[in-house]
Amino acid sequence: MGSLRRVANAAAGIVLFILSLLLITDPQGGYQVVLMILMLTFTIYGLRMLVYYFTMARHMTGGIRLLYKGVIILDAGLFMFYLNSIPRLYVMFYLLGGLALSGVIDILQANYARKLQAGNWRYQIFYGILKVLILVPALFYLDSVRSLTYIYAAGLIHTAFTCLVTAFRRTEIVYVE
Amino acid sequence: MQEDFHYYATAAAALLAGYSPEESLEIGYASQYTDCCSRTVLKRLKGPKGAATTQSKTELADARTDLLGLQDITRIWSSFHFLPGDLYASLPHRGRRYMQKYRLICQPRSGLVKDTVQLAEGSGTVEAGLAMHVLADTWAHRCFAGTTSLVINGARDFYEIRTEDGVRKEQKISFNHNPITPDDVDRGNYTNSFRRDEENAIVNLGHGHAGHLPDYSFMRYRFMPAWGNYEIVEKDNPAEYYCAFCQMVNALRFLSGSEEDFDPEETGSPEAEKYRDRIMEILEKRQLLASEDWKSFWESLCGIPMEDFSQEKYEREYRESAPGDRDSTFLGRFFIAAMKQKSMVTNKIFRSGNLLAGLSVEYLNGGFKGIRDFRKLVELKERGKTDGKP
Repeated sequence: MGSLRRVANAAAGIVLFILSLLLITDPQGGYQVVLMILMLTFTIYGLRMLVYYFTMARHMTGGIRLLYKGVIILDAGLFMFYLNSIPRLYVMFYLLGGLALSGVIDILQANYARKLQAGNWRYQIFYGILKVLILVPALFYLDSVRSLTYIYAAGLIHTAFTCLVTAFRRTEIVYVE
Repeated sequence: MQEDFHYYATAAAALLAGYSPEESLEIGYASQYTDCCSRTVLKRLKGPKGAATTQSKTELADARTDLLGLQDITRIWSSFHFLPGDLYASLPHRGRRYMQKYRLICQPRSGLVKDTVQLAEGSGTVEAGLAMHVLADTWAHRCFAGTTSLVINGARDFYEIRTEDGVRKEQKISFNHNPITPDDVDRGNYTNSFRRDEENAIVNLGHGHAGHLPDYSFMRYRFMPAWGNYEIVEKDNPAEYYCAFCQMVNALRFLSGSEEDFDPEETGSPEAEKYRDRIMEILEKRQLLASEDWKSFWESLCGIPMEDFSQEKYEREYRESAPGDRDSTFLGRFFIAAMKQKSMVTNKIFRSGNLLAGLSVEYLNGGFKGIRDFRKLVELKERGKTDGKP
């Protein structure tokens, strides 16, 4: 992992940590900020992916996959733009669902990494399972927006922790000289 | 390519080109040292950092992937391991950014190979050895680029091609990403870089996605490169390595003054042809490292025992020399040759309108600008003029 990526991971960890604190201390205001950041992140990433596809990856064997990826991510970003207009309870369902989904993706990626005998898959599967498990307490508070917000904040703290650990962990890459 | 070809086979090629056994070992050493001379090694030796000819795994793991970091990576890998085949290649409907990367794809028999060999002309065994590394790698690394790029270096659908009882058979090659797992030739399981959908990720540098397949002389395989528009590329390593060997003999004969010119299109050599069966036997043997076979070939050519490659062989001489005398040591000459090569290739890439390797200012037009280490080249040039040398 390059030093810039390490800095980016550390910065992401710190921002997520601050966000989760904001969610706990001021659930209403914090919720707006979280939505705004998620919307911007997904939209910019999706747009970047599309620009990359149309300028470079469309000439690449199997590059169409990147087009699909860009469209789905951009769609998710635009979808979040409209979340402000629906009741907060449902938005929390979406956010928690998104968190759990990212946990499932982590688990699938870790499983793939395990099959390929890549290192670090144990960390990834552990973080993925934790993300999914955060959904369990949410099932007991489906009618309480405040409780769901706190549970989501706990999920963000976990993600922030993951980012920070990734930023400072020694990583190995395979490069063939 | 690995130590077996860069040291042992290169030394054998030097013998066939007419060099003495001692000189051939120097050429082999300089060739293999190109895979050792990282910034970490240079720091330990207190050598010029600008002379780095490779990057260690640790350096790559922490390499910057911003503009300057990528230019540094491209300068090193394009100059010494993935010499661009056609800096002015054109394709329809491709953007500038795509074409800049596409033009860095390594191919043998290019004008830059000739420039590389000519750059070593009139110099000694060290410069010749470095040029032989660059030349040999153009064969093994063809179809990959010495820069980070998913759209160029991405590759998939690898199959090993074998001929059994005259029947062609293809076996799917499976990859794992565990760097400590040894490649399993019998089961067709090899290590490669994992895939990341990020254009400039370090894992997308060079032939990482093909693992060590280009480095094994016995390997015949096919795959689909990301830049190939779904066309399949077949690589017959034994045949291509033989071409590389012959071309090294020709280039070394030119450098020793036995030939008047070096033609990069010429891939046969009468000197090597006499030993073709023996050479092909070594190249086709299914083994991960052919050092012992090349060593016995070298010994059969000159009748004396061949010393093994040892990275430290000339390092002490450099470390213990007075700063003013270092440039005349073996490694001092190697570092200058490396900077010359890097400077030449960067300049060619820049002059083709491609900024991926950074800016290159011609001293005569713009004076000295840029990386301080390269000032040494200017000083040597000035000193050469004073001494009446070209």
